[in-house]
Amino acid sequence: MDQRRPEAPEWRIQENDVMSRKPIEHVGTNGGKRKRRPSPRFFDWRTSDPAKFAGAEGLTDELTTYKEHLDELLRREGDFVLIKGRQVIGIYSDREQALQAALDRFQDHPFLVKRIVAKEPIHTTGGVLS
Amino acid sequence: MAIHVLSTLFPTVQVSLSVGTAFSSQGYGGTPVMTTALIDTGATITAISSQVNGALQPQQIGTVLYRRPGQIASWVPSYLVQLDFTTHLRPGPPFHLEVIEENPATPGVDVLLGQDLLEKVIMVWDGPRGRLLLTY
Repeated sequence: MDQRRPEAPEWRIQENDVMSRKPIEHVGTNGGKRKRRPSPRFFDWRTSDPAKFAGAEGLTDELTTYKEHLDELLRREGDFVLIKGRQVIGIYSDREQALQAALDRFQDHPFLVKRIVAKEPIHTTGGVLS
Repeated sequence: MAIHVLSTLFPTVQVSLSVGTAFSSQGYGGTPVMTTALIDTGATITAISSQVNGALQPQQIGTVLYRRPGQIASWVPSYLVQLDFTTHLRPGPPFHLEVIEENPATPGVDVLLGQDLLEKVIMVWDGPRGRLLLTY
């Protein structure tokens, strides 16, 4: 049995094979307009002010306190902090502990329990909303 | 390991929601709710409808940044809920989730299951049979 590999076809540039000099037409660029820059997916606590977003009215003091104590809080990044007003109540290794402490002290009054992060995720849903 | 096999036309699942024992034992929260949830792979956080939120009356535990499609981000209240899958071959532990209030467009659907939950389960979508296999 002949084990030789078949010879590769010989490719030669023919005169008619010269690439077209017609300008490239870009497609899918929204009629030539510049693409909209994607929205940021994170809020950087070091460089941004939480008050720049609407809706913080109920927990303004707590968010401000979080930012003011950011450096010391980040020593326990990933844990959970309980903040009430302008006071950091405690840092806990899991959310359940933080919530239990919050319930014991504040019952159903407003408080902030959040994971300690330097960059806050900006959440989204899939667009199936009414 | 809990195993759920669901016969479904689109990726929905029956769930039970409550405020969890930590809150209910102290008299907080409303009535537990059984409803339909839609698996929303495009959502980064689980959401409950305003109707469910009103019945459940979960404790607000903080606030998260949330951007509705096509809108700018804002702080919205976040709540703690306990979620269980109710249609199962073998029961599993409940999930404790930080959720937001948002109204799904799909009629009969009151919960959007986001990536915060989906990252904790193994999900196999069997399209030809219209089945969803969920293990965790």
